[in-house]
Amino acid sequence: MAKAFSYDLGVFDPTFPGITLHFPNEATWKQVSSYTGLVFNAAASDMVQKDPKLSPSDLTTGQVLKHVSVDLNFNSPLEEADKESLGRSLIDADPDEAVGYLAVTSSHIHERRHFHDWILSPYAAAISAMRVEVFMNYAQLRGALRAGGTTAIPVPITRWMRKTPSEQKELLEMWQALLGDAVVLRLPELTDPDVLACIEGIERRYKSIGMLFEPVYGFDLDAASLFEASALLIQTQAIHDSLGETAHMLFLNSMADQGPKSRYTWFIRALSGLRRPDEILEVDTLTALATWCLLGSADSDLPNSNPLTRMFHVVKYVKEHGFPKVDTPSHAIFAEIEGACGAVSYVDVLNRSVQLGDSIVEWLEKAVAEDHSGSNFAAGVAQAYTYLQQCHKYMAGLFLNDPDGYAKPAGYLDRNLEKWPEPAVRYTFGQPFFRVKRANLGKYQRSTLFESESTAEEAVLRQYIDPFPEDLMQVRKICFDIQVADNWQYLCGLVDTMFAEYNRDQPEIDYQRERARKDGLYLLEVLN
Amino acid sequence: MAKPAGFMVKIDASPELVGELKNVVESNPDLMKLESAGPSDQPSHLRLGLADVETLIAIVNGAVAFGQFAHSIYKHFKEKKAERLMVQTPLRTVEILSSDATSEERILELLQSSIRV
Repeated sequence: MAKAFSYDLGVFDPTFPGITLHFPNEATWKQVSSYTGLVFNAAASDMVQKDPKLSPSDLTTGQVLKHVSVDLNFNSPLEEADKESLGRSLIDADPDEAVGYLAVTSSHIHERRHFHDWILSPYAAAISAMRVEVFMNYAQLRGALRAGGTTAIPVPITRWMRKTPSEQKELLEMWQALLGDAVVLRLPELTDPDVLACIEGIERRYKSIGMLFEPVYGFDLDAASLFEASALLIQTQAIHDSLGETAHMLFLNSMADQGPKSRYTWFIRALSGLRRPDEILEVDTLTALATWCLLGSADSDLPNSNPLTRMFHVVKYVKEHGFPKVDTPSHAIFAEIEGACGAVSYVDVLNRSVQLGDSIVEWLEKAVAEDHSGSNFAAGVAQAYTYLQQCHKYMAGLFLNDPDGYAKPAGYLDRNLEKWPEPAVRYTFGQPFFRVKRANLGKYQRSTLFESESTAEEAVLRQYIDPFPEDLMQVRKICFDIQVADNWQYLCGLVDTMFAEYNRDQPEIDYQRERARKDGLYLLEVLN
Repeated sequence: MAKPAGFMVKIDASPELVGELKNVVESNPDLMKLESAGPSDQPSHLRLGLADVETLIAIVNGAVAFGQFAHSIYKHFKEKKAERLMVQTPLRTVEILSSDATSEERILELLQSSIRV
């Protein structure tokens, strides 16, 4: 029996507008590389078999990648039997590890859907808007945090501020013992009423942003689980479309075996429990329902904004009315559910979300024009958000024009080449093992390093970003700006490090800590 | 315990592993002091890989205490192939996977990297 794939290669991380592939250690990197190699070899063999004039040495990486992803647009040149044969050859190569191969092969599709959901969803757009407010408040605070020769900042700051004086004293003694007497701890004075008002504003917003990750209604599930459901459904369909039915069923069954608390599959399990006798669960229908769950917004329809709330509306609807027929257009499915639960129409929510984003862009432009601080922080915020808003507007326009083209996998996968913005891929490494010669560092864009482990000759990468391949740019018109992705990640990373009280184990926080250290500043974690 | 060298450490892991580490803390009162142990109430990246996460917070006396933890973690990871934990100190966060359990020394090395200044 095939082993379940236990490693989450991709990470849905809304602080980076793109795809994140995280490798926590070298063993994982090697395992994934071996999977990729096997997939590559299976695809190359398939190409050579189909065209006897080709020899393996003639094949370029680009040609094989194009073949394995079936021309990237899923207008597959392969017959059903060919796909099935390619999928089976992959499984037969090592049946125990087959699920791992399938997961790695299709992880890009999964993470790419996260990226598209993130720039389409009004719920996610509202979070980005809140982040902008936080960044602008932080711009006001920056001076106060470093005033008076600050050498250390306890983070998250709000957690530190809730400590009593005696608790603060105890923590300071422990930190001093850890750092040694050579380090003089000078903390920022956070007593000015304007500073406190800024911090209060940031704290309030972070509580709302954190809702994405916090369980609601006493369940072990959160809003992010709906984003996972959407991505998983697209991924399974993509496996079916490129590697055939056997591979598809193997992957789906492995996911279903993940246990009752898996955030990946609970949506599918919840809905499959509502199936009537002889009813087949259609991926098309499930994906449309998952997509609708992501179309809420607190600005337009507060009671129905959280994806989990919308999920419960879907469950109630299906219980009462059964699943929509597979050929029902997405807009009709959405209208039915909205009518049944009293939610505001997705059309109005999306239009309002775009209007709100535009008004924030205007507000930012004004704020930047009036900013005489000499810093380009606010201008950086405005630039990044303006770009995100353009993408949101673009996605909303496409969606409103043709909901099936996005909400049903066939439409999404068939037409992606002409339409959807293409994200950059970020590779992150949890431990210092990815070493490159300094002379070759230029090949790794936007790289950041494990500074302590790097030497004059060798750089140890903490992360780098791969833009969309140049040879495919000719067919892909819209590629997400790598500079904007990098800026947004920097802003989120910096301010999350200072204030977020969730996901304190995200790798970016350690990077910010190391960065601050180079500037002579210790960011000391308040652990509880 | 030897208070002057003590510092706080937070470990997020499966309930089983946290239970084992809690025993380690309670068996070594001269080296460590338990602050809390139980279900995690904080959203974390670790949750992406583990369905159930518990958190242990303790004040520990540096290297010797980490040695005790390393022994327990190594043994646990050798038995359970697909596990991971996150160790946080005021200075760093380090993720350790079962594939890191090549030796007890390697686990100790990773734990110690969490307090590198």
